[in-house]
Amino acid sequence: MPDDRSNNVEHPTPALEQPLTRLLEFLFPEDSEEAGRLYLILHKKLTGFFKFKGTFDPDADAHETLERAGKRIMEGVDIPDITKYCLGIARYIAMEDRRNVGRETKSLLEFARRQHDNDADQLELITSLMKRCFDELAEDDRDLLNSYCQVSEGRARAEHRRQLAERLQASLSNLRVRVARLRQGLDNCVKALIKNY
Amino acid sequence: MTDERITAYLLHELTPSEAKEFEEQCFAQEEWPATLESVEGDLIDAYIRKELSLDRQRRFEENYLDTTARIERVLLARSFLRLVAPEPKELNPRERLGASWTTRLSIPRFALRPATIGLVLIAGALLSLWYFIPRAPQTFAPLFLSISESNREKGKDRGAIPRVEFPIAADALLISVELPETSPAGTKYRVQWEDVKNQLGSLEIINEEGKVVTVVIPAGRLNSGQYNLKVFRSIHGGPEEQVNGDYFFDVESPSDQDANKGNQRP
Repeated sequence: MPDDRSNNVEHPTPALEQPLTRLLEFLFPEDSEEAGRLYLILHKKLTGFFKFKGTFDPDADAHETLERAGKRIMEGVDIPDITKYCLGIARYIAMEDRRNVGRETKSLLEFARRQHDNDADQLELITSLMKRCFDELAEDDRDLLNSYCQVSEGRARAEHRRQLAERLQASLSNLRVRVARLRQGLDNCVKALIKNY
Repeated sequence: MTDERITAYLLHELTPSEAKEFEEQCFAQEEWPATLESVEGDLIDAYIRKELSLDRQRRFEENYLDTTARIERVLLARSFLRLVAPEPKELNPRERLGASWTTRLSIPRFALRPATIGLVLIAGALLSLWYFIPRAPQTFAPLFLSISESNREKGKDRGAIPRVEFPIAADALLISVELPETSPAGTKYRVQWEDVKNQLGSLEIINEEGKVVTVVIPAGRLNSGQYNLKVFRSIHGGPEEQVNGDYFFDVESPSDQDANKGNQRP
C-alpha cells in the first residue's frame, strides 16, 4: 500500500542544518546517539500534535518547530524545558497554519472538486479509490474492519467491540488503535492514488 | 485522559487553560497518545451517522471542521463507512418519519402533526438562540508590535506606529507583542488595552514563546482610533509590575488615512 508520509520529509539544506545541529547538541551534549533518539521522540510527538490539530502537513510543521527551537538556542535563549518550549512554538505554528491556505490546492478536497462539481459524485469518486485500497489489505485486516464497523448503535456497538477484542485476545484500547491505524493507512493510500490519477 | 475529555478538546468545550493543560499532558507522555486518533475517528463516525446531539453537531461543524485536513478526514471516513457499513436502503421522507417515530417511540399517527409542529417550533427557537451566541473567531489579521520607545505624546508621530485598516478583513486581530527581554521561568503575563479615553480591560493571552506574547482582539471590539497595549508581569506569583514601554497601534478607515495624508502636506 503506498504511503505518502515517507516522502513528505523535507531534507534540510546544509545552511539550514545548523539550528538542528545546535538542537541536537542541546538535547544531549555528550552522546550524539542519545540526542538523535530524543530528537526523534520529540519529532514524533510534534507530528502527532499537528495531526491532531488538523494542520495540512504535520511532518513539515514538526520539522519547522524543531528548527525554530534550534534557532532560539543559537540566539542564547534560556530554555529550561525543551519539550514545553517546543509545544509553545508548535501552538504558534498551528495558528499560523490556519491562515496559510496556499498549500491546500494540493488537497484531496481540491482534487475531488476538480473532478466533479457536486458532493455526491465527489463522494462516489473517493469511495471508488477507497475500495481499491481496501481490496489491497490483507484478508484478516479486511475482516477486522468489516466486523468492527458492522454494529453502529450505542450500547450494542460497545458490547460488540468488547466481544471482538475478546475473540482477538486483545484489549479494547489495542483493538481501537489497530483499527484507527488501518484506517489511517487507507486514507494515506487514497491520497497517494490521487497523485497519479 | 478519557474519551469524553478528548472529544471535549476537539469540540472546543474545554476552557483555554484546560485545553493547554490537556496538550501538556499529551506531551508529557513517553509517546504521543495513540488513543487520540481512535477517539477522533469515533467522533467523526458519530457525526457522519448523525449520532451527535444537536449542540455537539453544531460544535463539530463550527469548531472541529476548521481546517482542510479535517474536512478531508470526514470525507475519507464517509467513503470508508459507505464501503464497510452501507446504510440501509433509503426510505422516502414520509416512510422514514413513520418508521422511526411511530415504531420506536410508539407515537400514534394522529399525534404526528402536532408533534411535528412542536418540534419545528423548538428547532426555530434553538436556531434563534444559536444566531445570538457569540462564536469564536475563525480568521485572523496578524499584527506585530514591538515596544514604542516614546511616550504617548511622542507616539503621535504617526509614521512610527503600525496601522491596521478598518474595517478589519478578518474575525479578529492576532497581535504578537515583542517584549524587550525574555523573562525568567514562572513568569505570568497580563496584557491590558486602552484607547485614547478609557482602559478597555485585559486581553486573553493565547500563546507565549520566548520574547513574544500573543493576544487576540475580536474585530467587533475595534473602531477607528489609536490603541495602546500595556504588558504586566508577575514572577513566581510575586507583585505585578509593568513591562517598560507602550505598544501603540492605529486602526484607520481609508477616509482617516486620506485625512492624515492631507494633514501631512505642507
